[in-house]
Amino acid sequence: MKVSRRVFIFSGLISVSGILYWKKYTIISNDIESFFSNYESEIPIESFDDISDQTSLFEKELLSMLSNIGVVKTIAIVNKNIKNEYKSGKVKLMNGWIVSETEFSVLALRKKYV
Amino acid sequence: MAGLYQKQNLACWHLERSMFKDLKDVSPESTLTYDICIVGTGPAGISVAKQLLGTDHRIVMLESGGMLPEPKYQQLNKGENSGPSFLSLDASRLRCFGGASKLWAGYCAPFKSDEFDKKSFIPLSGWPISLDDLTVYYKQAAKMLGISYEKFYKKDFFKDTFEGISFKEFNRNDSFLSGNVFQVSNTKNRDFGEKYKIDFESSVNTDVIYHSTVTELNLNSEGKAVKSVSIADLEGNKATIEAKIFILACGALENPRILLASNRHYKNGMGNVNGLVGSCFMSHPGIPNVGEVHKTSPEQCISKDKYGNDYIVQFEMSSRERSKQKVLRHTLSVSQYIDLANRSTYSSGRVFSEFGKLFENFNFFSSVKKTTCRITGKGKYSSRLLNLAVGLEQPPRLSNNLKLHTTKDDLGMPKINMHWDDVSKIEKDTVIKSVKTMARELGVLDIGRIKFKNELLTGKSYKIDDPINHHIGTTRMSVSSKTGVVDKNCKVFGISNLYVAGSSVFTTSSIVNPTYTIIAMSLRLGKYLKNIKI
Repeated sequence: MKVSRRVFIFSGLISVSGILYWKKYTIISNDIESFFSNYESEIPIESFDDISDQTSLFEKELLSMLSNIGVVKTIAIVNKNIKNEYKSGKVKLMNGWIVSETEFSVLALRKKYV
Repeated sequence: MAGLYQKQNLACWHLERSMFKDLKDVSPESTLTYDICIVGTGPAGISVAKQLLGTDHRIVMLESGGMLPEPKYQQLNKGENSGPSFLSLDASRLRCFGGASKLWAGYCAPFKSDEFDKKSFIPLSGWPISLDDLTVYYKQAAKMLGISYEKFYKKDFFKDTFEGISFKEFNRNDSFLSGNVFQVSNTKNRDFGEKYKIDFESSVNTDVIYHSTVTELNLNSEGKAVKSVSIADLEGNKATIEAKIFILACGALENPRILLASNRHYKNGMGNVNGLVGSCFMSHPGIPNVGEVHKTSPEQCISKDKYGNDYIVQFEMSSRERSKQKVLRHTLSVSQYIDLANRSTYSSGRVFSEFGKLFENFNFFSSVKKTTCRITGKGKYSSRLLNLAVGLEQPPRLSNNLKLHTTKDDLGMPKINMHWDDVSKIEKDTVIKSVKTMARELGVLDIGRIKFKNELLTGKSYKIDDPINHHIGTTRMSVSSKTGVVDKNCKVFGISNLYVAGSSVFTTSSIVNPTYTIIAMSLRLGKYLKNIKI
């Protein structure tokens, strides 16, 4: 079968971008599941069913961090943020649980991804 | 020779010398004369008297009950409650030589220096004395109680005494929490009746008359000084004690009762020009199940209580954080079995659910380990789920007050009418803020998380049926008669020779058990009286 140069280049570009897109998506998907699996907590996720704008914003930030720096570094940064928020008093109450704002978002998203 | 001085027909003569005397053995309707009359033989009365032992002053101590508790004299403690919250008026009080020293748990801790300061968010706060005025007496009181004053302030005390990493970290420089050390005085040392009875038996200047309840303070004709007190027993025996100085040391319920009942000259009672006698009653309300602490790891050691030993430690916000967040003093107590140990669990029918909690995370090996930890006092607790309880300082409020009831006891004394509303907004705020702050500390250290009881956030479930029976306030110390009943030397405003000893003079209530401070302040009063010219 004879393939024209133009068709060859075009299908090649589509294939490569498709693979890249699939790979990227897969990596992010695995990373975010891995992130939440690594986030151990005594707090039952059923308590956190309210995904607010703040949580959605955090989700975008998290995806960006995971794609740029990977799971391990993201966990370290998130944990540091959580500690800093406890220190500065940025805490929220959800069904009686007293948690930091970031931790609140983590717990809310954990229910979505795990 | 000092002794019982009886004045009859202007003659003064000595009874057969006996330091402890039952009123029935004193001549009927007699008048006995002394230099100093101390009403009450509990920790306060004994501490004042101890400072005066061996001086030239002739002292008499009056005890309402006998040498040992007797049910019929205990009945004199009965009273009525008219407030929204119930306070048992006959609990935590004992009418016998030694008084409440025979009852108390022996937990000792001094006040913190900032507690004496006036605070903008606590109306009527601010003592006319400072911690420095009490330091020397705290040291003396510690010796009497067989504890170490220095250990309250020893920086490495926690490290030396309590094992585990968490507590040490709680005491980091920028911690939101601090540990409050309570030293426990043992039974032998804290029962002043037993411990110091021999001192009074061998005293040459002090008499103790028991079964002698004060029924009235009698003023002189000018109404500026107490001339005598009327005493009686339940057998109908009566006498009068004359003295140059009188000290009321009968506790924060009985001191105002006697002042209010002595209304022959002033219809509102003695020292009560501004209606403050009996007001600002304070106790230490506690909420036994504020929330749950979920440890991040079973190996984390949060609870550091060593019940049954010489020390316990309870958490609270640091002084800096407390001032910043404008809250009262409090204790944050972490323990596993508090609900089952609390009476309200049984009265509210929660016993099965609380018992079930014990088995929620049951693990045989961890249970063995935990039990071993408790027995040996070493190692780390293994349970992940712990109960959090909060104890509260109560601010002085005029609405929490004690008045006289229309009914009378068997000696004809009006009974107490207590109006007590246990918690107000600042107490509720303190509960929420202190728990949040503890959650922050646990979060910073990644030790655990706290689940707060939802009902408490809405202001419900704050009723306390079983408060700690600490009686504080009611003849408060202040700079002026407009804001207090006694001055900085515990003298009643407007009466030249009447003093008050005990927790009734406390301006604010702190959170620590009051007896250690009662003893320190009474020793201070005793020293003051020793030095003044009578």
